[in-house]
Amino acid sequence: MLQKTWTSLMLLVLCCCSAPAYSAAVAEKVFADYADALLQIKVLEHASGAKSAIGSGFLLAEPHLVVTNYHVVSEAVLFPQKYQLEFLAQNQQKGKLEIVAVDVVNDLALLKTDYKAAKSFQLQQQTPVQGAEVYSLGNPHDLGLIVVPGTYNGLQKHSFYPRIHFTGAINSGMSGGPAVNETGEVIGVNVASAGNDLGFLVPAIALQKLLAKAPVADLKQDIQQQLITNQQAMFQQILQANWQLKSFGPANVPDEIVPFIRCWGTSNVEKDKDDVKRVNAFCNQPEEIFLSSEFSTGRIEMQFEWIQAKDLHPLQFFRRYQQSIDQMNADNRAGEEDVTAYSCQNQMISPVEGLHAKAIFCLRAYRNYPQLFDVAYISASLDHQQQGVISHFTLAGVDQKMALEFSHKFIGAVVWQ
Amino acid sequence: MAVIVEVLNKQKKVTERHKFEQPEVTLGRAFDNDVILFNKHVCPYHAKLQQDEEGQWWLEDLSSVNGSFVAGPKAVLAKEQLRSGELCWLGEQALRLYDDAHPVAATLPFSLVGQKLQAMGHWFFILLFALVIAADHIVEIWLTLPKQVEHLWPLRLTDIPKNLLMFCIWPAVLALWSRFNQQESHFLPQLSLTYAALACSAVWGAFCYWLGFNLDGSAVAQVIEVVGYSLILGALFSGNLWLATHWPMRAQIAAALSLALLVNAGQWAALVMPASPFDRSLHYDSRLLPLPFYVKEGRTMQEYEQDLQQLFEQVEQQRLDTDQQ
Repeated sequence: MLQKTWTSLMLLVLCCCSAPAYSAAVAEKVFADYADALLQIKVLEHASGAKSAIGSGFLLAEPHLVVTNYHVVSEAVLFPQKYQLEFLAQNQQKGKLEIVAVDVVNDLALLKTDYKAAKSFQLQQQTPVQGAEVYSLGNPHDLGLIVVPGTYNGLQKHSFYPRIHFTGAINSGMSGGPAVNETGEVIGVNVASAGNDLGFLVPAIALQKLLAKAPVADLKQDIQQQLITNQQAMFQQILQANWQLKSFGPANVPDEIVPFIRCWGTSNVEKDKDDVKRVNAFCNQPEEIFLSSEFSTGRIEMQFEWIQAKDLHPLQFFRRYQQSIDQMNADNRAGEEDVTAYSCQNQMISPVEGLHAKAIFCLRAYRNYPQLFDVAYISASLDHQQQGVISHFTLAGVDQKMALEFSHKFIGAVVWQ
Repeated sequence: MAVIVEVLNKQKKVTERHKFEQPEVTLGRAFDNDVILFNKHVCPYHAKLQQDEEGQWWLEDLSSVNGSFVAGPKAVLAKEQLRSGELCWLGEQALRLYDDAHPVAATLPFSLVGQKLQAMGHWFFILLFALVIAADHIVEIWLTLPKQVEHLWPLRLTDIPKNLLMFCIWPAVLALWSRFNQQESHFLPQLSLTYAALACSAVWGAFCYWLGFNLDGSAVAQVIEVVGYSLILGALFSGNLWLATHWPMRAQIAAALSLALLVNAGQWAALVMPASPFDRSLHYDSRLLPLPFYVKEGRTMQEYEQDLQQLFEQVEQQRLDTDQQ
């Protein structure tokens, strides 16, 4: 019995020791096989010839196209007169690249090239198993092309966008590089890192869909269509969901209404000296769609505050209550070229007979993507003299229909018990 | 015929007025002169005024060190004729001569406004306005000071005398200006007027808070608020100028309104100027009061959604307009 245990233990130790050695050998082979098909992508300014952005990319065998992230090449997509794209191969060969198609939602771009590699990448047809070895390739911090071994950990939970959870270090500059299995088949494209060996990949299926898509003449119009379709899909899911409500002080407010919206809460109830008790709940869909270095969209945020006075005169209470609604801000980045200034509407609303709330609805339009808006809403209930509930949401990149339907459902969902 | 000699200061304001019946009047620093002057550039026996047989007056320089002048830079060599109302200088000391038949300006009747403004200088009014200002401060502290920092009450209360003292500076400046112009200083009426304007602003501010809440922060409420503040300032400056100057009424009102608009320029600019494209923040009216202060009915959901649809159309129009520019 003792001998059996000893043998098992030895085997386990051997496995642990040999795994990295095996992994390193495979990584070396993958890198050696495909080094030619790995490219560094540079965005160059026409006028100065200086680098404006760099990232990684890889050459697909069929069709003969280079794949990278949209956020690597966004400047060349939006300002083709100002920027051009260039690649640098492992053998120091350089050449021009042309944008063929983009998918802003999945952060992918396809580029045309006349560069030929000895061996190009293929996409993996079936989904890998949990724990499978994955090798991420790229060019971190412009230091040269490298390979990072890691593990496939399935699709990211609580995310609207399918993203592979990769346990391995994806660093800045590796964006757009491929993540492959031990035979060199692409399982995903490097897209983001959350630090501490936590990386995210766009699954190969998204890339397959983009490859299958018919070519488009106007990339900007195509981006707008992608944004509209994406927000429609996201909001339809939100609006069709049976919203979970939670008790929040004297009211009911929406909770985690769909799996990709997560909620947290805080309060100051332990601070006895404070003359108002504040309880906060916060929910959001934090994933953004990158449009340019100054402009992102796609976030959803909901926030609630229950504020209750301890022996205050109503006028004193309402002054403190007001302080809670006078600092509302947009949740997404946008430059002056991207959006109009916010216009706000201020109303006293009576969503249900006998209930009153002051509601502020602010709106700005996307200048280059008609039909899309950013919305910020805040309302404060006014029916009680010593307590109130503030409900707030911001939506980024939403069309009028979805924004109005969401507002209707949101206002209706915040109910005083 | 008698002669009237006026001694003027550098601002040409009368400091002394003498009347003589004799045909010769001596002028100088020596104490045996008819008009004894103080200016150290005037000689002890500087000049004399003489009446000829025809009744005309002449200025005769008595070989003075710094000379005498009549209507111009050229010194009087021997004597020079002076007409009634004409200025002459002994060195840099100005004098004016009148004969007793010279016409005088019409009597200025008491003005109701002037009397009211003067009456405002009574301590009762000053105290009343100061109390209104103090009450506004106390209400603001009571509304905003959290219970956990209640010990700061005395400290915050010291702001009241500080503020009241600070707003003494403006009437003091006006009083000094009046003194400088050889007029009555009217410090107390000016102080009372300043405190009255502050008290009116406090009451107007409270009213506009309520109005803004009831009109849902509309542009109309904002315009009314700014117009009100401009009028209060205009009234203050008009009163100030009335007490401090003898300018014509139109000039006083024009100067007061211009000054009021200048002081309120920031508020007007915020109201009139379009939002800056660099401004990423959200501008809205966050004023809250308990529900009984709201006199209208709230919008139903259906009405609210129609309003929101209009907002979408308006923002879309803005986008198209800015694209065209």
